[in-house]
Amino acid sequence: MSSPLRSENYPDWYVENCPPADALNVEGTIYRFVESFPTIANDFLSYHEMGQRPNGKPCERCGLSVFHSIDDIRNSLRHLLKAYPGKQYGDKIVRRELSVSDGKTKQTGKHGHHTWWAYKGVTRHELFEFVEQLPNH
Amino acid sequence: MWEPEGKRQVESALGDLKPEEILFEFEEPLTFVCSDSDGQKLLAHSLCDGDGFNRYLVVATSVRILDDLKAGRIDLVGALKQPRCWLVDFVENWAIKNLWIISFDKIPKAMIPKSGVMLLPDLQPLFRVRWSYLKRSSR
Repeated sequence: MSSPLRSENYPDWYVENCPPADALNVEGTIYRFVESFPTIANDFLSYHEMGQRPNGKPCERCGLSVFHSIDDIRNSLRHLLKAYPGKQYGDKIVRRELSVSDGKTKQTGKHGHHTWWAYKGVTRHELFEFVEQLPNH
Repeated sequence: MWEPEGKRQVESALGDLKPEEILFEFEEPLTFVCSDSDGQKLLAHSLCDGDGFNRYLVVATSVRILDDLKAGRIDLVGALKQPRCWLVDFVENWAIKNLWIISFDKIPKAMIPKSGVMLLPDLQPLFRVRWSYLKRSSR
């Protein structure tokens, strides 16, 4: 049963009150790191859908991690690859233009980390362009 | 997921290991401080992901080590390479699924940060600062 607190615009598996009320429609470039290019749907499943990151915040587990700045994603990914080498973070950076019809984002971490909650029906892995691959440490 | 070479312990052997201070997070707490049932400070560092659980290296630590780690005076591996180490598989709400006592040397090297990798992206290893200072000073 869908919650009255959840917008009809979002998938019915999003948790209650998700995305948060202060998430914004943002037009502009988003960057994400992935394992594969061309992008595949598996790299754009949320942790909620995959049953992973069990101690992540429930609403953030429904969205996807993105950045709005190439410098922020480079710095964050470099650190994650070096500090957590067994976590298998994807080493390829991709980007796409986001429009207001694609969903909402909110900064959910330090160093420019945002979460993107896509609207129902948005094919999340499409329209991404390759930017670069970081050396895996 | 690799099978640890350590000795398996009952899940409750260390007590409740919920994060008390998160030192670095991305999508989840990745490096954090917790305490065992005797109040001993422990440092937990995420190693890898399993099916519905996350495996962390948990080591006995001290206020001094934590202060040095946060200030950038020591790197991650310097804080993690300790004589008392455990591997902990956490599931939802930080419940413990598996617990092993293990020697640091038995942890696959591919899972451990290399020397010089600091707690935070904006911390630089102290020896690099000193080296660059020495190079500048010698000009």
